[in-house]
Amino acid sequence: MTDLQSAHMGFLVLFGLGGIISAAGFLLPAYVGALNWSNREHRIMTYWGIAVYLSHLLVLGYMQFVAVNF
Amino acid sequence: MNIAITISPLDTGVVLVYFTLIILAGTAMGGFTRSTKDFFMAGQRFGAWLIAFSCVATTVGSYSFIKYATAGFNYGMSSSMSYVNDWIWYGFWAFGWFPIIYYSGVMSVPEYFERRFNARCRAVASGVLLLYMVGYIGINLYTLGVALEPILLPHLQAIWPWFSTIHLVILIAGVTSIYVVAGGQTSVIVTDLIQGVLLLFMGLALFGFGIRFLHMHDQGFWANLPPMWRVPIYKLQEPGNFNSLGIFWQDGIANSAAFWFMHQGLILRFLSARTAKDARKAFTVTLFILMPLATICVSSAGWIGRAMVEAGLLPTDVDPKHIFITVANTVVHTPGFFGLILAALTAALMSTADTLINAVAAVSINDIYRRFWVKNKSDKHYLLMARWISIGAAIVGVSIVPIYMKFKSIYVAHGAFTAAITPPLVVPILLAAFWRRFTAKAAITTMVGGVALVGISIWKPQVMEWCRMGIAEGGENYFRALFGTVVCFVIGIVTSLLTQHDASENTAGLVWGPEREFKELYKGSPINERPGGKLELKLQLADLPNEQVVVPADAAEVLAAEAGDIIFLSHPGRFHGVLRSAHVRLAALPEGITPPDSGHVLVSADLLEQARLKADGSAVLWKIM
Repeated sequence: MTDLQSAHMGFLVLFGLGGIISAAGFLLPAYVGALNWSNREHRIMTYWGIAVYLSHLLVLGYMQFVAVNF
Repeated sequence: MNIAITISPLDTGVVLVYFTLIILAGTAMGGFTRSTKDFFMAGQRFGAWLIAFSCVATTVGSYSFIKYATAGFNYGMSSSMSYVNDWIWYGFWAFGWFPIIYYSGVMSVPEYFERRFNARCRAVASGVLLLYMVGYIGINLYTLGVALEPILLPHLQAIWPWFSTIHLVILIAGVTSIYVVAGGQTSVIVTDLIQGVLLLFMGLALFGFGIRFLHMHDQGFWANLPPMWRVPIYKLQEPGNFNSLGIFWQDGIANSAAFWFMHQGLILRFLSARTAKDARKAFTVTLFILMPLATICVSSAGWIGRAMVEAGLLPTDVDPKHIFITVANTVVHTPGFFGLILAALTAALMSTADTLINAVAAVSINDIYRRFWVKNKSDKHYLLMARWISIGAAIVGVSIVPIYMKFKSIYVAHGAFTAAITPPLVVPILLAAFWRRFTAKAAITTMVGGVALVGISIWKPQVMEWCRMGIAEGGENYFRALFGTVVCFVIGIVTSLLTQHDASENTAGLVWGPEREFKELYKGSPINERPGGKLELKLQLADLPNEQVVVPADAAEVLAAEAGDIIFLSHPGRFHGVLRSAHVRLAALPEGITPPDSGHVLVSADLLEQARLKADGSAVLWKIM
């Protein structure tokens, strides 16, 4: 495995395994009633939580997979 | 080799002005600190942005500039990995842990453990937590000494030959203690706002200066970074002391969980928010905007330094440990600007150390002194003792600096410390908050057994070989975090399944569940969710119980509030409204009291004193719940 491929594996661990734990942080509270979808504040927090994940994924993903080639 | 550092009289002047400003701003807040609630939770009066900036200032310690600039120089953009993985815990914190601590009324993790389990759990957690926090103060003081040593020591030793790093540390710790003792959490938050803005601005400015410096020498920043220095996530398993798999387990899982769930300073910071909504907003802003900016601030000197070395603008044998100061001193030529960078470096330390000093005082007073030692004294007595303990915490932090001097590098020292202490305390918090079956005996066994097993792994590293995950030699601290986390979870779960709940154990409002139930426990009555407006009313003195107000019926209708509802009352001014405020309850008019005039609100003299409002003034009111 080349250095760059190894770095890409690290990226997948962070956003794959980290993503699963992060998703559990929304699904489990919804299961126990701690995240209530009819509560506007909870909905907004959920959207922001997804936005935080996606923004990190896209920005770091851009740098990891694209910018390294230029 | 080391680069000769130059510091002009203007730079020295800027640093002195900064110190003076911080001391004045911090001590000015002393007037708003009249109770232990003010001292530890700043009277619960701050909005989201103040909390967010102070969180970032706390996150960025002086060690951050050294540690991450060094990592940025050695490994490139991937030095940012530790700052961009906190999102992993977003949902668990926002919907799980935060509502528990905010609405249960606990002030610390040990207090939570007593409410959830028993006093013994509280005592054990207090001991481990104090060890963690005092160690952190020591690390921050030591790293500031390392950072400033090459700059200030030659100048200071020219005047006082006996002056050494430890004297520098004592000087900084002394300045920090002055304003923490004066104003407690209010001073911490206000000074952290100044320090947070300063260090973010200076960090980004330094990055800009660095790129400009390279362009002035016909060199590009990006073009001079080798390919592996451009990737934001480094190689999976190597080198041993910096790899993405190890950082995922140590920073992403163990340390981030410790920071958001266990860090006493952060808990007090979020409890200082005027509403739960403000606290959550602050958390989101911190993760979404401020942490990514902060990682550029602390790492960019290392990235610039690498590009300069590749471009031949710095020698190849430049000392990575001093790269932050070397780059700053090389690329910045504006008179006085280097002084601002030194001030930002100092701000990073002070904003972390002040939080920890206040947090140590909170745990010492609430969880040890008031709980087990001197009970039933007046609040003034505990406030006085909190101030003395703040001084004591700074002294203990300074005294352990020589211990850290023995470690090979700061990165290793920091990693060894957090990896050893973190899992045995953070795992019981997670299990207690998210699993009703978790028992008191399991909590104590996890803390004691976890510390013992992690201790054994330091003595005999081969016991954790099974969780190496292919990480190269030298990465013991990384997989020790995984080892500690796994063994603590196993101890906690197995012991819980083998033991029964004690009669003293309680889960109501202390294990995650519907937030409405938490709010009702907090308020003591059903919550009122009718949307209401803000209203400015004239103050009118009356003989009411403290923290109660009475308003005319038409005003109550505008507020959509009923007797028993929690109202936020503040000075109408934008600046004064932050500091001069209080949480109150709307009350029905008591017998024998004259009803309020139209456009007035009845308040007690004690409440005016508490909220620092003038009797002939007015206040803005709005309903919280």
